[in-house]
Amino acid sequence: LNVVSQAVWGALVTGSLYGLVGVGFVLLYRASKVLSFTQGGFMLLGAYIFYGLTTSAKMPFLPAAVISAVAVAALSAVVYTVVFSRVAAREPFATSVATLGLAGVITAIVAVLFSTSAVTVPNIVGTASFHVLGAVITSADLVSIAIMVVVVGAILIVLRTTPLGLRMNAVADNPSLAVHLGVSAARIATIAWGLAGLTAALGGVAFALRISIAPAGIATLGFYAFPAIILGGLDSVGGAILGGLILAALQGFAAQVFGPNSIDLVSFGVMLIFLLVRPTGLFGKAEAVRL
Amino acid sequence: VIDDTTAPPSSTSLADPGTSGAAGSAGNAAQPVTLAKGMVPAARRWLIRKGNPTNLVVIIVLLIGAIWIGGANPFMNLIGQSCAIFAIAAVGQSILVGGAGQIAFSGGAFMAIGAFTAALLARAGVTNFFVLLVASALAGLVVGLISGLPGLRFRGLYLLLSSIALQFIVTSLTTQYQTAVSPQGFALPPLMIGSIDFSFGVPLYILLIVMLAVIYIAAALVERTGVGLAWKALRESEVAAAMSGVDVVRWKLYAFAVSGAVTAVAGCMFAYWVGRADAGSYDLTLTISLVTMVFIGGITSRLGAVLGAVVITALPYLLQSGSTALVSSGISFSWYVNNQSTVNAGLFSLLFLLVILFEPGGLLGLLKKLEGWLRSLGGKRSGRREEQS
Repeated sequence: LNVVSQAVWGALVTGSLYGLVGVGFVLLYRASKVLSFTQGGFMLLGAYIFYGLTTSAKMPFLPAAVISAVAVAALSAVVYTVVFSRVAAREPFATSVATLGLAGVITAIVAVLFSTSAVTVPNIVGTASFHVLGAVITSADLVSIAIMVVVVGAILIVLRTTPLGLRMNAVADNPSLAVHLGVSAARIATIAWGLAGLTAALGGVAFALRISIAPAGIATLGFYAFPAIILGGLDSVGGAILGGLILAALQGFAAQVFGPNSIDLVSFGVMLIFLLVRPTGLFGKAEAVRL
Repeated sequence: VIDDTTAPPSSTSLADPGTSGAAGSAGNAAQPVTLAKGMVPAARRWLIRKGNPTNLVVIIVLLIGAIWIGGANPFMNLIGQSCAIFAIAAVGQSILVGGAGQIAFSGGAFMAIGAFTAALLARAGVTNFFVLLVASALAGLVVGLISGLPGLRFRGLYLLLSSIALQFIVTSLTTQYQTAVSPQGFALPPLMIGSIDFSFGVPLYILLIVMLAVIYIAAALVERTGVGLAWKALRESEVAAAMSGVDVVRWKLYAFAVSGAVTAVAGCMFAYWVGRADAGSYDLTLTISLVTMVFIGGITSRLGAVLGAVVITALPYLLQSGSTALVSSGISFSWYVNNQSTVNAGLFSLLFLLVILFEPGGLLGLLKKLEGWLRSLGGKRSGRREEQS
């Protein structure tokens, strides 16, 4: 029972983090039809800014996390307006490919500044741990889940109830019609990029709390968000969370049964199967191809 | 490509394309049909066509470079060998990415498939080079065909994602197998053709260059047939191609298969070059650098892919010698020297980003713009001449 409940709990925490990062992908995709490979880079950046603030500046958790998130969100929005906006409206696909380049640049910069070896963030959220049904629940886990719930909850409330959310949904539904009705698609896309940066940075912060971080490792974690959002559907916020949880459960299962080396194989194998059989995912919407 | 061999005698220089163009058009006007026959006028007409002088100059420069490196020191030879291997891989990727317009991030996976097919067969006792080469090509062909299946349902983002999935799956499988069976990788036998050892040095270099030339010319010839036309139609618009009667499914699968086979051949040669197949070499980073080669050179051009491969492969060595020169002259350059591979990776990513966003034609596109500019200088002159006559 101990092993099982520990695995379930671990999957819940990891899955909620995949979901958090996945929500950023989904927002971005809905707003600009761009799939940003830079999310992994922004996770990395968030994690290392957080690391810098907590070690060098000795900041407590909350201000450090907020500063990292806001800084990365601002950077993400600026990068969009300065670099991608002109091309993104015309060629979302080329922009998606180009974001892979940006991810490489960010990874290289972080690796040069902080070296490629792994670093560990000092334990600043307390060392208290609880035992529930045999599973050890650390405070870092609780903080990670809290971040996910708060951020995704806030995003969902904004999407459902505010005029901004209405505009974002309109752009996601039919960009050209939304523009004709007076919605600024460019502004919506900028906001979406900012939010995506925010979720990525917080995902990075949460990972930094739980495991030691290295540039290459976090970039790979960013790639795990892809199977998650394909499972859930590229344009569904709730689907991203559920996809993240399913993926983490699968990964935990694979690691227990076939060993940790099989995690990549299982994650991307499932993604490939979904792409072949049901590319819209569990909750996505099919898109008609027009000439 | 065949015309290239006949072109040099008639071409004077790139700096003066306008005048040769004017002369060609004047000749055609005088005797339109009869002059069109024969080698020299045909070459001249080929040369007038926009972009061709640039291609010619790039081909000549690459050929001269290839010959020069063949006689240079062993270190240069080594660089030349890796340039040739990656040029083969880049040509393989360019068949898919540039030719058929299917952007896929699985080049590294196909190189791994080629390398591991060769290495595992060698482990089983097969030592004949041609058997290993053909076996890797076949393995690449089959996996390429399979990897094309997701591409039948969709293109663009979903295809990109499925190719990334393939990349991760192949890396994971090869790594697991390698750690279980032989953690330090799988050694390959020496490369023997008949009784001659082609494993290293100038013989290996010549073999690689010949392979590159054969594959390049074969790809160029295929592009001139209906297959090339069908791929071009796919690239421009799949829906439009399907509506005009192009069998999208079939040609797409062919493009994936051929590209997979060529890339696997490059992987096999890479394994020979290193002496062993090691799963760690064929990761997503390799894939990204392959795609960067295709994009930096000029996405729709095979020549661009070769140019990109040479630039991307040779640049780290150039930067390295440049930085050692700077260090010895007293300027602090330690942040580069200490993080060379990281900085190089970042630099390539940056180049990749800039090319995609701002110069989709790549290096070759830039050179062709230069040619257009030179033409416009010459064009004014020739225009005046026509008024006089």
